Amino acid sequence: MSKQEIIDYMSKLIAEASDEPVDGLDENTSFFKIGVSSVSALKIMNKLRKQLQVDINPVAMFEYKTLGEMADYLQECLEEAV
Amino acid sequence: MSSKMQEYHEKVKQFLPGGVHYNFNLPWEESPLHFVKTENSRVFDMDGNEYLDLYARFGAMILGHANKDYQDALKEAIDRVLCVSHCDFDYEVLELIHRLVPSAEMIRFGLAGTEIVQNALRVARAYTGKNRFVRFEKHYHGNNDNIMGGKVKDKEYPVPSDFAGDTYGTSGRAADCMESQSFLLPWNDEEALEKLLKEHGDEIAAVITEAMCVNGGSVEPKPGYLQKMRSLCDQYHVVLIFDEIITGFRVGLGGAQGYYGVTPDLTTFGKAIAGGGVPVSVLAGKKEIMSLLEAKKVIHAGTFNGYPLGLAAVKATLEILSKDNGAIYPKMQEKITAIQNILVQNAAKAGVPLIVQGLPGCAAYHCCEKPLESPSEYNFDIITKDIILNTCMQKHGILISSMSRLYSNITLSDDDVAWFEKNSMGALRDAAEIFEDIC
Repeated sequence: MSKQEIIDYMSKLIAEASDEPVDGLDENTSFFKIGVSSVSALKIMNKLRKQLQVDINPVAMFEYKTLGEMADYLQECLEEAV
Repeated sequence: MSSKMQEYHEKVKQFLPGGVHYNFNLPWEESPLHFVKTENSRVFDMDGNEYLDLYARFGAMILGHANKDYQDALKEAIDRVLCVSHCDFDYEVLELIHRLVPSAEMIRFGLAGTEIVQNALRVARAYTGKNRFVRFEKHYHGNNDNIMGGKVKDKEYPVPSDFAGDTYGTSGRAADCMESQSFLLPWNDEEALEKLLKEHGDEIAAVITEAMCVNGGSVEPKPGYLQKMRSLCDQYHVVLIFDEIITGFRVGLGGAQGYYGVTPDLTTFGKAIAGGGVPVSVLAGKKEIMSLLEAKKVIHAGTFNGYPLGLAAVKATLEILSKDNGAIYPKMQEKITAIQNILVQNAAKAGVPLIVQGLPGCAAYHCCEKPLESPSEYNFDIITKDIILNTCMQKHGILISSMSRLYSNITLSDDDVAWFEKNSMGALRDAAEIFEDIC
């Protein structure tokens, strides 16, 4: 899965969980500015984990604060899982 | 959260970072409930919403809210001896703890669990002349730099180090303090402990463990595990420390050590030992080790150590709990067990996979099919669902402690059980919908 594909998938999940339109999200979008609830955040991370089939710590959402940084982290997780 | 409480939260947040009094590294903003009234097992928030309180201030609140005997004892101490270092009921408190706790030959007091654990490690190092300690995955022993979070990178040399995304990971940790002071092992794994002590016993001063791993999902020790830990510590001249900050006086008068029949060298207590209203932590242990304090070879300092209000709280709490030889415990456990059974039954009706495990008083539910055998099995999949159900319960008037602990108190009543039965079903149905959405 490419970085852009991961960003596109995350954008879709975030748009579903918040009022943000997909078009308004890109790799520089900060998670802090989206304002998802704890349940929504967990939903997003769980769906990512299942889609990518890697063990992702939910805290990654705060460690990697933009969609781009998160996509880089997820790619690392994918490489470690191989 | 209603606009009134949300508005208040926003005001608080101007001056209180995050609007909360404590935080771990969790990936969302928290909006705590602000309470205005408490009574027995119930608490009432600023908007007049009523909750059954199984959160119990992280398990500290064991006597029920607004317990009259407890509050009268605190008031008596306030009126008479509030600001002195030693008072006229020190002995009574010490004798009570000594009588109830198997390992408590001698006792010192502190305020927080975090500090008393560090004091225990210091005494253990002084006693053995060795530096490192062993701790276990998913156990929690306070928020000091050297003992919180981390992950082992090399299982052949199992020292913990920071990793990205650690819930217990923190910026600002002193460099190398985990790597240079400790080992981190899986729990309920005799072989791993035996191998480590065989290879590195000459470096290890202490093994510290929760006797039942509440922080790792309320996992009980496998039969014989604590006994094996005890004998290995004896063999390698290592001080065995039980962290009973949660289990102490919650699973019974003798703590988990009394229940499992294994006596550690040192024990730390906190939370419920002082009833929940004021902070007191306790270091109790063998005279041979604790006498290092008497000899002043080891420093244990603190302005408020043994403060009268705290000791009055311990005295009142232990007198209430130990009355009629602890007759209150079976009653309390009957009520919390009824709540646990209802939770399991209602979960089945709602189609939520759920088990409850651990000793009554500090058991936990988990949204999975089988009980966890090791804290290492408490993975993100289960934690996620546990937190979601916890959130749903709050919306239906039931407060549950982190992540999914069901803390009892001695005022739990049939009305509380009925409240749980009535309100938990809606929470479980809401959770089932969210799980459906996730899966």
